[in-house]
Amino acid sequence: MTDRLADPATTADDGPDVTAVIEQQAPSRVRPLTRKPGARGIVVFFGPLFVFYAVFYFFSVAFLARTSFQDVSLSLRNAVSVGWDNYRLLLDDPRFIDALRNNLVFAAAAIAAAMTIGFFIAVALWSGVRGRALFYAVFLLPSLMPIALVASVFRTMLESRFGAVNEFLRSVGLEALAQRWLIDPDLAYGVIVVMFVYLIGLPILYYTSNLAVINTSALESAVLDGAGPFRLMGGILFPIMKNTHKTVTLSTVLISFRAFDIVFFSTGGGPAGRTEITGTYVYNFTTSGTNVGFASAAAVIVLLISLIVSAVQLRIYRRAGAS
Amino acid sequence: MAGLVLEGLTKIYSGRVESVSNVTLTVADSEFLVLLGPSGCGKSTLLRMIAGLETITAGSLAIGGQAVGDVHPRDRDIAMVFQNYALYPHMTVRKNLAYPLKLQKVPKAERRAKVERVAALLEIEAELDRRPDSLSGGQRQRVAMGRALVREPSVFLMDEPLSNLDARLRMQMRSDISALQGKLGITTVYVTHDQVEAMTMADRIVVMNQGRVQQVGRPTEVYEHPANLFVAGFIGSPPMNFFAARRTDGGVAVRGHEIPVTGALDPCGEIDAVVGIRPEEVSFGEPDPGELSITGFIAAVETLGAETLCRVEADLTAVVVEAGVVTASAAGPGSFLVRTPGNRDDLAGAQVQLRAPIGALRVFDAASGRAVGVDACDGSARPGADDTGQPTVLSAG
Repeated sequence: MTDRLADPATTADDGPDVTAVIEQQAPSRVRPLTRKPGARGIVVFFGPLFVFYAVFYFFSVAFLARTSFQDVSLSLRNAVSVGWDNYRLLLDDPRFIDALRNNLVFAAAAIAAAMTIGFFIAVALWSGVRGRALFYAVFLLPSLMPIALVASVFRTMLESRFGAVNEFLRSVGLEALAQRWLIDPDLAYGVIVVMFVYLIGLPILYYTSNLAVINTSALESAVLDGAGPFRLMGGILFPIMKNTHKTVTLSTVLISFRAFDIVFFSTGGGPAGRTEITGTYVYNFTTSGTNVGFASAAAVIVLLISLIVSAVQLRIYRRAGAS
Repeated sequence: MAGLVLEGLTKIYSGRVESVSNVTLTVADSEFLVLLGPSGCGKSTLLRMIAGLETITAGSLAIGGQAVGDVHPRDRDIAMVFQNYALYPHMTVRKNLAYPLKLQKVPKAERRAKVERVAALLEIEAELDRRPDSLSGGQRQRVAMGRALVREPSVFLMDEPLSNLDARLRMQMRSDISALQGKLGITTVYVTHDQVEAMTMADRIVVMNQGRVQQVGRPTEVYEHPANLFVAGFIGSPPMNFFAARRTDGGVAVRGHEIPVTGALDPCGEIDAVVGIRPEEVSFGEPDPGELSITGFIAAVETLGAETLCRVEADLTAVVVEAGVVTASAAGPGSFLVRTPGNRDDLAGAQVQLRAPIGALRVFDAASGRAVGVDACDGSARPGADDTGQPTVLSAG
């Protein structure tokens, strides 16, 4: 007949421990919602994934590593074991070293652009400029489209004789500025850098999603403290978003090692290997068919570099998280 | 130091949603003013308008006699403490404290001296080289206070600064902030939804609801003479008991007692007028001739250690008041809360006789909810003065 006043804060203290009651009854009446899967469950859930990984990751990496110690044609027949020769040759090849350096230069350009232009665009869009949706579309679309398509469009537009860029320059009387964009080695190099910069949609997306959840009180506090827009961005917002910078850096470095299509569909690594990256280097040697082992060794080195970069980055993340 | 004058301050979002409506207030120099109200009542918006973090749709704002409605937040000579402290996570405590001074281009030596002085005042000297994420909630709160103090502002704004602390620390910080404010004499506007904070810290309380000021007054004034049903129901824990009363020619009649009131009373549906009484004003015992007599059955008890709350199903027509508006009258016996000292869980289920002095009753207009002046309250003694607090148990339930 008598009940307690309806206040959960106090009723919880007075009555029996509800959770304890549930735990006591669980073995006899209630099946727990989560329990460890048995052997059958493990096979059913993880089996397909394991097969997929076994074929496409473990086997292919092992096959690649084995091939890298062989002298073998594209037919993969009559392989001859050559030990570390492929690696020695590779590290003596200035084109490979240049390709590696290009990878890092393009990645650095992309990171610099992401952390400056990308960050600025994300903040500008977040702060509520007019036509935000349109700007998001403009910056994000290139990153959502197949890179091969973007690169092909760039190549067509920058074609020296009938390309849209030169045609436009000629039509407005700026013929002197019409260049052999993809033929001149320095200009071609610049074009690839611009393309890497152009694909900053993903970093903008990372920054935007972080900005959507950050607590703005620190910014408001800085405004009251007297910080102007640039100090606010550089002195408060930029350091607050350090975890996003790490994500952007890591993803951009890793993407640069996989950015085969950007170079292949625009310059093909040319002219004269000036814009070659490790992806196109491996592709060119593989398709030449002379020694697939040599290309495999290059692929192994690129893989190792990527793994090292990831490991270093993860270590920095963990250290930052721990502190 | 400086006072504040708010005249007709209004904030309308998207041309439709009126968050703050025509607020006119004067905050005296060195005063500790608390904006109190439920979530979404517009108190934080009003504070942010004073800070300059929200634009003012209409009205004017002056700090220290200067109109600042169009002045940039940094030039208003104010400092603000945020609910989540808003510390700069990448800076040490020392740098956090020094940041506003650095932006003001205060020379390094002076900056260092000021930071150390504030750190000593708030007892955070040992934490100066630590980062905010390694501090406890209380320490962060102190750093946030320090960052506001170091600027030596004219006005201090605080937006629920204690709400993230545990109850014990909150109590400690409450008295610390009050003492600090009293010592420094900085005009302070403090936002909270916690009436204990408001009652214990404020010089004056501004009770807000739905963007409007409901009452402005000293804490005891607001508690004892609520301006309307909203304030009466919001201030006090547990809240005031409300029940229906019959209108008479000169006032209201409550269980045979005539209470003369000034001003007209408009009915709301079947309810002529609303009468309120605080749970602690009701006591157990046989009523004296000048006291209200209530009988009822104790339906529930809640023992809080030093006191006991009893829910009595009383022979009164209880009135349901939601957000200061009369919504219904309960059919059957009205539920009535009584607060009595000591541990009285033995009362559960008992049939009891209650009494309350007529002078403790508050009369409200049923239609508008506003308090109506009571002309000549019966001056009978309040319960507790010579009362043993022993209930008259009519029959055991």
